Amino acid sequence: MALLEVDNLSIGYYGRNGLTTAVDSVSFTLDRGKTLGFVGESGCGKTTIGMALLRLLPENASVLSGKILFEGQDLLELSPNDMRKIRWKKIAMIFQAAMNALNPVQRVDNQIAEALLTHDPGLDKQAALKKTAELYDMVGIPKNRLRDYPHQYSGGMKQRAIIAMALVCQPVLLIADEPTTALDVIVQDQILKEIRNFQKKLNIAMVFISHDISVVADVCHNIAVMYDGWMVEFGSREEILSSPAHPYTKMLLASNLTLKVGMHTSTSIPEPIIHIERSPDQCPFYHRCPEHAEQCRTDSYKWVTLSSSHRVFCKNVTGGLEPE
Amino acid sequence: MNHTSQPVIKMDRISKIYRPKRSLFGSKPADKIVALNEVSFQINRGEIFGLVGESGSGKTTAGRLMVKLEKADKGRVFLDGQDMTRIRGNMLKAFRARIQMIFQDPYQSLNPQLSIYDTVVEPLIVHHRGDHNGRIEKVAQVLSAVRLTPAEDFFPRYAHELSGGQRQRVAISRAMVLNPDFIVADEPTSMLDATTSYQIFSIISALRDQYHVTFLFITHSLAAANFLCDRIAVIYRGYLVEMGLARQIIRHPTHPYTMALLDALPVYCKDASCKFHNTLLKTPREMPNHDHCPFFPRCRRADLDQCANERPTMLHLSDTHSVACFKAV
Amino acid sequence: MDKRIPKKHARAKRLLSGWAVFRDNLLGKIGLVFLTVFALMAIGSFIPPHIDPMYHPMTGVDPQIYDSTGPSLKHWLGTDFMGRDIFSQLLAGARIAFMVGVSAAFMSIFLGTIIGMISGYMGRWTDTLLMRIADIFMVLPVLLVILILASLFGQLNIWIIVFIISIFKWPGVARVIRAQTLSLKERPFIDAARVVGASHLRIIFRHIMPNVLPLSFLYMTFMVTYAIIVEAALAFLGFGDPGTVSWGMMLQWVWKTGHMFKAPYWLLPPGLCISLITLSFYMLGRAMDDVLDPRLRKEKTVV
Repeated sequence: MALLEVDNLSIGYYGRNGLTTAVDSVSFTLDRGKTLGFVGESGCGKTTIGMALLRLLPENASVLSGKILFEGQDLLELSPNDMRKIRWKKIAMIFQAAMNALNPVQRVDNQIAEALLTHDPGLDKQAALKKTAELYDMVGIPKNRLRDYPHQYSGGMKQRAIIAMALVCQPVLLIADEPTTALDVIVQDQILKEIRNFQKKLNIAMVFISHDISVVADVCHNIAVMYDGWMVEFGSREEILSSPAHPYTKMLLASNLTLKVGMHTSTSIPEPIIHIERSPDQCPFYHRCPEHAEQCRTDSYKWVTLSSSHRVFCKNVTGGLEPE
Repeated sequence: MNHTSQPVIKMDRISKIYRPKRSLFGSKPADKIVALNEVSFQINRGEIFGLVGESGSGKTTAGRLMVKLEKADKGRVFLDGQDMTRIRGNMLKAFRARIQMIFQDPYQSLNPQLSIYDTVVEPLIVHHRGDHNGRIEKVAQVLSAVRLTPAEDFFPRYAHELSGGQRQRVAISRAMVLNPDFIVADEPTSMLDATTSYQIFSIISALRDQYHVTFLFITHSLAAANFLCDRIAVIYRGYLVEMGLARQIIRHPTHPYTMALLDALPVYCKDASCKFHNTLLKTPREMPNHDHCPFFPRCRRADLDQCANERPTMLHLSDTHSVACFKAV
Repeated sequence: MDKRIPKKHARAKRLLSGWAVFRDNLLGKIGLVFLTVFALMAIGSFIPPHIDPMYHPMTGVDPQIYDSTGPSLKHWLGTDFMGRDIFSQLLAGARIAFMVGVSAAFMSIFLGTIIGMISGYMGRWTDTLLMRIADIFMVLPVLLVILILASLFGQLNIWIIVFIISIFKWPGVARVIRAQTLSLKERPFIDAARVVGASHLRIIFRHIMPNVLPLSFLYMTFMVTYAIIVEAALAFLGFGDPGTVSWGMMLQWVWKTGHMFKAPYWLLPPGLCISLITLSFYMLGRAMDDVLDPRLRKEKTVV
């Protein structure tokens, strides 16, 4: 059985203009020890999915439909108390811009130990601090920095401390939302290496959210491409990178800066469009799609299965296996 | 004005030192921070010149020095051959019309209380250019040049109504409205996602082609610099370590730090011809008290004689490629 | 399309969206309702003397009444100890409250905002000098100073009182505006203005001021309440301007003539009015805070 099974999840936000759908009918599975990457522009719903897995959505958000099955249990059906038992102990999260989440007036090791003690009150303080020191080894911070305050840490160290705080209860699933976005290239590389290491060591499953497909490609076994709340393609890393099927995936890959491409060889990328009215059957990507056809406006949606691990949500794709 | 032979911008042994202020009752202040250390380079007309470095390297300080948001402690800055280091008053104002800047954070670099029109027209008002209708024309023209069309639709809107990418484009059009010779773009895309960044790059390149504006592109990503720039300079802790044509830096990096930057790029950004140079030490060495190569503590290739005791100077490997490393030749 | 539209379009749009936020704010609506009532009272204060000279708040005396009487058809709130109509005094008091409150508030905000911005933006010696001057003013107790001046120079004119209130209250505003300016100064859009070549003056008035004005307006509402209360206190203590009829003055007359416990129709209205008008200005201030600061608006964005 898969560790995480999300089935037809839809989430909306209530604002002054009514209900906006942030996530629309998203389904995926994640096995133990594997990493699934969510990649897409800002506003595509990837962070919302991450927050939904921990049931940390803001007050004006509402789950419109779907199930989140974690170890066989539907998280959406749990009472707040039961959810609290799962949060951080079984599923932990590294939030966006998490380095600002450290309390500036408390020593870092105390903060991490506190996270452990909150979820495991039976433990004593000494044992918690010892565990913190072990985690510092795992994430690569020198032990002599344990007693420092957050402002004494560099950006990379703060992020590592946050990762340590997420791992402190030894969760089985870790959700990482843009964990390396604000960091320099060399630090980013080191942290990604450390993430791969401890993931293997602790056999943690991971949901990795980023707008940068090259980072996702480095860490993830499977990749889900999101656009405007919809999942438009899902496949293994190799399939997405070498044979992308959805025009948006191709666009994302084209806009990724590699050393092979220079300005002179680049292709043009259409503008992002904000809040456009569309009929229910029209593909959300229609207006930006360089390959759109008439049927993209009228035909009903379907997933096209390209292989046992690769599927694409596009009405204009040829080939593919017959759906079961 | 003689455009042809002079480089647009020349930085000559620029140094910038930050000294914490002494308070009357405080204890001894911490040591000074050397942000830039005798940095010299020049940018040619019509170039997009990349300055690549990590946070704390001094790249942003260099950009700010160029637009005179900060004063250099040592060295001189030349614009078109004229010494701009100590100008004031009207000369300074005239200078400002020729050099502009695009800032990193599109969410903070636009005044939230001004409409888009007011934001972009301001340079024209400050420099008394054009009459009312002329200004409207110019603002519309410059907004269209950054692909915010139809331009008039954007006039009455406010920054918080626009996305990050759109805001950055407004910032670019504000920088362009005076037809400057030179624009400093300080990490213009580090707060934007991949597709939006791509568009900003293509806009910058198009502006260079169409309006012959010279750009200094400050970034922490060698991949971005390779994409956009003609020439690249790599800066580490206030020192220039390598400088050359983009393809030279990427294909034939010579300084161990440049190699470390290339190594650190995600696998997907590289191709088969990219080697793994492995020039970074896992644990840094002790920093010696005397003069030494700035990269010495992290350099796997450093030796304990020269690298630990002397500071390397920039050596020319060719007409276009120079590097500051004892181990390079 | 008429190319001149940009500016007007922008302002109108902003005002409309501001109104929408204000409409949702209950506190603001209540405050506004009360203030409208008081404003109508103030405007209406000109009417009674025209109906009949006996309704003049200061000099009008009912020829048939010689001391304080209760409410009647002729005098809706009754008469004071001299036979003057209380209701028209109440209306006149509203006018004085607005005059004093708004003028004193406006002057102190005007001074405080400008000095605060200049101090915060220019820094160094200018900042030190201005803030030390501010400290001196801030430390002196307003009421005490006015009382001393009144006892030295006799009864003070209402405008002198307004002036003195402003002189003593601008430092509080200046400190707050200065703090806001210090934080704004570091924002990139100020750097951008400098790179464009804007002069210090232009940066202060075109870039800093619009961003601190919301705070100024908020403080203005607090200043209004403070000024009204100070004026009322002075009048009550007998140091007000004897030529004006204010609510504080009315309270003084009640007290001085020994009617405190005998004439509730005379004691309660001015007291209630002072409390209500200050409360309304405060509520208005809170609502304006929501309108003017876009970050306080509750609009969720989707990521």
